[in-house]
Amino acid sequence: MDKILIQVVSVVSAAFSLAIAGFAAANAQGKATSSALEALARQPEAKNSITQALIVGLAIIESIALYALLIAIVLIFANPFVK
Amino acid sequence: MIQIGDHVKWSFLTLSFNVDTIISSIFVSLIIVFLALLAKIFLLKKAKTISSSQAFLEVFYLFSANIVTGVMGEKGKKYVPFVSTLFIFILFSNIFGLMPITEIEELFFGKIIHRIIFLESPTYDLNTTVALAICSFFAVQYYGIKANGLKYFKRFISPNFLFLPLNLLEELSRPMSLAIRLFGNAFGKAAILAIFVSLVVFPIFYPVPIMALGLFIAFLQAYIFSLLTSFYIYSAVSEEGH
Repeated sequence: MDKILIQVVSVVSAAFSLAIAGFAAANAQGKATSSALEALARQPEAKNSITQALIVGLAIIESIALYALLIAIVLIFANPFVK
Repeated sequence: MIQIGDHVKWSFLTLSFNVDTIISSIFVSLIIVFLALLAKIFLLKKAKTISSSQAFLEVFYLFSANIVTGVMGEKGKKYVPFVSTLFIFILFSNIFGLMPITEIEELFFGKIIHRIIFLESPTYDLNTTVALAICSFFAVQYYGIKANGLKYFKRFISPNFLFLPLNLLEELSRPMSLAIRLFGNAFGKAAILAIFVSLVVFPIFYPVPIMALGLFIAFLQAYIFSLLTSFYIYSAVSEEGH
C-alpha cells in the first residue's frame, strides 16, 4: 500500500515538475526571442552576433526544462524510494 | 513501451557495457571515416570547374569551421579540428537514429499497438553524451593551461578566493548540462516518435513530419554542443579569465 502511494505521488509530481518547468522555460524563451527580434529590427546588420547570442541563450534556458525532464525520468524509471 | 535503460547489456568483469550503443557508434565512426576517405580521394585542391559535391563539402566545411572562428576570430583556427569533430560526430549520430528498420506489433495495456524500431542512435544513451561532455571539459582545461600556463588557475579565484566554490560549481555544471541537453533532446525525439506512431493503425507516412522535426533537432543540437564548447574554450584561453 505504501509503495503504491509513493508511486502515485512520484508520477504526479513528475508530471507537475515538467509542466511547471516547461511553462517557465517557454515564457523565458519567448521573452528572449522577442527581444532578439526587436534588436534585429533595429540593427539588421548585427544579424550574426544576435543570432549566435540568441542560440546560446536559448540553449542555456532550455537546460532548465531538461533538468526537470531528468528529475521526471528519475522519478518514473529509476525511483530511489521504490525498491 | 519506451524505456530509458532499454539497452542490450553485456557484462565483463563486473563492468557492464551497452552493446548496441557501442556497435552503433562504431558504425557512425566507420561512415564518417568512409565519407572522409571518399572526400580525400575524389576532391581536388585546385579544380577549374567545381562539381556540386565539392561545392557542398566546401560549404559544409566552412560552416563547421565558422563555429569556432565566428566566436573567437582568426586565432580560433587551431581549435577547428576538435570542435568540427564534435559537430560532425554528433550530427551523424543524431541522424543515424532517424533510420527506421522494422515494425513490430506490441500489446500495451490490452491494446495492440504498432511500434517502429529505429536504428539505435549513439546519443540516445546517456553514457555517450557524458563521454562527449567529458571530452569537451578536459579539452577546455587543456587548451586553457596550454594558452595561459599556471595563470589559467587564477580564473577559479577571481575576483577573490571566496568565489572558489562558486567558480568550481560553474565549471563542473557545464559538462553536466551539455550531456543532459544532448541526451534529453535525443530522448524526447524518440519518445514523441514512439507515441506518435502508436496512435494510428498503420503508420507509414504519418510520422514523417515528426522525423523532419527530428532532423532539425539533430542539426541544432550538434550546432549548440559545438558552439558552447567553443565558447568555453574562448573563455578559458582569453587572458582576462571570463
